[in-house]
Amino acid sequence: MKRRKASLISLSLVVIAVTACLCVVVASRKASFAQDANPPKHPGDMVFKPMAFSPPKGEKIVLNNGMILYILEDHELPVLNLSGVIRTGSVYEPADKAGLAELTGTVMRTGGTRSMSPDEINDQLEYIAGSVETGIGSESGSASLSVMKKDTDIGLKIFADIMMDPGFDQGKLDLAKKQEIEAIRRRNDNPDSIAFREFKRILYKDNPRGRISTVESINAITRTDLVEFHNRFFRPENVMLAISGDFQKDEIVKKVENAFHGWEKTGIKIPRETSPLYSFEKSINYAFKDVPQSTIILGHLAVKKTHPDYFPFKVLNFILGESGFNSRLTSEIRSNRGLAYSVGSIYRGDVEYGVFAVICQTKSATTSKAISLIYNIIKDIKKNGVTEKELRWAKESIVNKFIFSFTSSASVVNQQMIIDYDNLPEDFLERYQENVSRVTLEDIKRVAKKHLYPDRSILVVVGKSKDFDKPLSEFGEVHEIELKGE
Amino acid sequence: MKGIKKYIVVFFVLFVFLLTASPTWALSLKGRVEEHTLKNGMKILMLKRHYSPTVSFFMSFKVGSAEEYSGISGTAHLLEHMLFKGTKVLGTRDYIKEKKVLDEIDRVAVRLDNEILKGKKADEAKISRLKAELGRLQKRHKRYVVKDEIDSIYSKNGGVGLNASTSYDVTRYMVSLPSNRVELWAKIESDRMLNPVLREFYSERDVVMEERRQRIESDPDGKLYENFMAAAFIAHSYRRPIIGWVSDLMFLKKRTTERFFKTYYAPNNTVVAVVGDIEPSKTLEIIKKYFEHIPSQPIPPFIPTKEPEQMGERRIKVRFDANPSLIIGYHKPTVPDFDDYVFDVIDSILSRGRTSRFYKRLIEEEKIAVSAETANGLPGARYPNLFAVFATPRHPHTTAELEHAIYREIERLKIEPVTERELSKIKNQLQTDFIRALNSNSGLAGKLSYYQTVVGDWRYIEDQLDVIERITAQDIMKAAGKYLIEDNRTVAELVKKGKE
Repeated sequence: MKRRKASLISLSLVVIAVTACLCVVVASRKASFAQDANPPKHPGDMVFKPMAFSPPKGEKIVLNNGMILYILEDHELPVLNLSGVIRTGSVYEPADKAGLAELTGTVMRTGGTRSMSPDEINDQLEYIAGSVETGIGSESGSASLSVMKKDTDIGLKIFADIMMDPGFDQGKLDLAKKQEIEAIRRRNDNPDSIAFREFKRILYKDNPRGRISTVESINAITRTDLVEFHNRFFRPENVMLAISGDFQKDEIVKKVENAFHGWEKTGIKIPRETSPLYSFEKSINYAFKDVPQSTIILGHLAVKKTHPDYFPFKVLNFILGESGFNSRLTSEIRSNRGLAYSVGSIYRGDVEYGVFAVICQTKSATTSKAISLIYNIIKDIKKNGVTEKELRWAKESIVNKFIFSFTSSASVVNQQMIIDYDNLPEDFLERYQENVSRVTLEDIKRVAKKHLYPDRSILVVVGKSKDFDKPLSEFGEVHEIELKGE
Repeated sequence: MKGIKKYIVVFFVLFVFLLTASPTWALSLKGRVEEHTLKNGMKILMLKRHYSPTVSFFMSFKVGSAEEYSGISGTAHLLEHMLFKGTKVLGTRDYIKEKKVLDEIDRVAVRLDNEILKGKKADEAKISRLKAELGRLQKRHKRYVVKDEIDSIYSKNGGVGLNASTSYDVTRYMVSLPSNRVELWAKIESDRMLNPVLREFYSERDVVMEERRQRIESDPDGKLYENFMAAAFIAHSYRRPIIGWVSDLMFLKKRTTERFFKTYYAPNNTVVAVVGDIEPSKTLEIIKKYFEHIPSQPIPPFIPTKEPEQMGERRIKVRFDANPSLIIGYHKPTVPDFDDYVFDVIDSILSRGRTSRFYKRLIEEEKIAVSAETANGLPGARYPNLFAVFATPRHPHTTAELEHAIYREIERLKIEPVTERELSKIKNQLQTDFIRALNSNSGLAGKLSYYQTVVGDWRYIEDQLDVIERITAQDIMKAAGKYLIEDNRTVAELVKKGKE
């Protein structure tokens, strides 16, 4: 079995990107040692020559209709990979139709197009072992195409058709709604999904990001809503595509242009949705679930990606709970005390806001103990910062792992695209290692003081309170969440 | 987190699932993979890929939960956790002094376990005394510990994906590094293989108990899966959960765990796969320098209890605070039996993609299921295994209705030959799966080491398609008729607590 669960929530995804003439350095502190010399006794003392690497870089092309392409040739395998990002999101859906964006993303793919039936699309794609998928999340939409080189034309045709002219077949919409309603019925089956959902709801309060779909909101959604939602956002100037694979650049650009022929820009600007409100209020929340292990989430909003404190906060979080075994939370709560298998913290800096949260799963009888430890560990780092040794190790780790952002051409162009989508400086990646390296002990101390709020954070606990070691009220007034559904 | 059902399927059959093809063009791995066997029997597979200056390592030991017996379930997996705790050099400030404390800890912990095992007759005062004593010793021990040093060294050297996995068939340790760090890997891993120290054993046992609570006790799908396997196998090791039964796991002995290590972690029971930006001759030199002196040793033959032929349907229920779901499993032979390949094809016919029969009939047309997936080769591949169906009904439809519809589709397999187009679709998919998988160092290292260990030859990755290419509609009807029958199946149903 895996030792550690992969990141517990999608929030932990940190997307980083590439720009011009990027050179990645895998460095070491001391002098290098030659491979044939007698290496030191202890593996920790082994040092290696710095290794410089200039990753390939995709080319940015803006089509006449405003669609942006990032293109990178890669002739290793006879394949074509395309992934797109669309400026849309569930933040734009009306409150009484929560779920509209997600349904639009789903039925775009399943509901056929004006020229092809749903069955025809599935049959053609699966026969050539290709795939087209679409989806809409809270702050963006995504679309992807993967085919063998020989199927490039048919793949692009179907992909473009789905992007421009989805049919939104009524039957497939009905099916998607039924599936979604069943998912709502089942959303309290697993303690961790309850905890993440409720944390999100409380964290974002009245902001659209905190909205959760209901049977009523799904039932209220009609085919016309999907058509309109699609029309509003799926415009060439709202779309970026990252394309990599076995092709000639000029040829693939021409093919994409042809596939999207006739798709014109409208010039309508999509306003950014307002950011969640930065207010920090202590809140203790509990939901009952008949299981022997409690799921604990503790967190609050944090600095956004463009904030000057982004890099120091990122390094701070790495040391606090993101780096695995050697993070403070894991080392104490898991390794020293054996209180959890999954424990750690995540920080995601988004364009307009950020989220910081600690996650821990421990048996009912050590729930209060684990919560106290989490509070104390955050308070300690807020008060005292980190040690020089920890900081040096964290910086070295982040800088040296950076090379793994470039292990495939698809990841290279995707990163470039996302940097652009997020409006980050073009040299964001180029300066990434440098920005991490520059973080000082004082920076960490300052940002820990300024941006960590253990006493004013949101705590969500899902489990069986009658088996807890101490009542949750020890930590403050408890708000009990009543779980609805089957 | 992914849907747990998928998760379990992926988890236990990940590599059996990676159906692959044997293309005749230049993409073939044959001729590209360099193979060596060290003098001590350790098998090395190397593959150059120069896309980025990185390298992935997979070290596989041909031992897993299948080698456990009643009373020690969970040992293979706990050992896997313990091997992250260091060696006589790694993770310690002074091993000689540390050893004394460790021995004292073991003495007290064993007495404590023994007392607790007395159950109602246990002396509570003695338990608290021993617990306090253990706590004091553990505190003293901390002085000598360098916390999680293997992780810390790999991390500062840019290592990613440091992890390990235990299955019934194989235990694997993996990490990816910048490509100039081959020697760092060799030094750490050879040390782990020779001189592991199972320090912090008792707190790690508690960690695994938490892992069990997370994956099984608090998870409806995990709980159903565990019960299903225990019902489907009545004699063979595959019936025991990898993570261990609660009462075994709680009291697993350090001595047993160490013995398990000494018995099975021998170089002649090991396969290493290295894929990435390497010079194979240089890499091999480094590997020889660090591993070749480790002595080989005979591996005692392990002959697990043979699963007797199933003589009639078995049905179980699991009551849980969650909505209903269903697992159905049929016994079948494993690779290299021809029918195992046929079941790879049946797997795709029934549940791969939106044109699969389950998706079209159960989800799209009748709308009685929200999911219906199949998996071939559960829970392992070294011994005869199962073909399984995981399905979730959509309210107000019941598991009974869904089960019935699944059987209807299974019956169709027996009487209607699959169409030529269906068959060639699946063959196309397997071909492209193979090609796409060539894009990842760690994915390739994982597959090479897995098949070499479990099937005995990594070429299975490609040869499999040659076999699948030959499969006909008749073969499918025949295999379905032989194995997918009522007397050979086990059905496990999740029932919502307080309802029925």
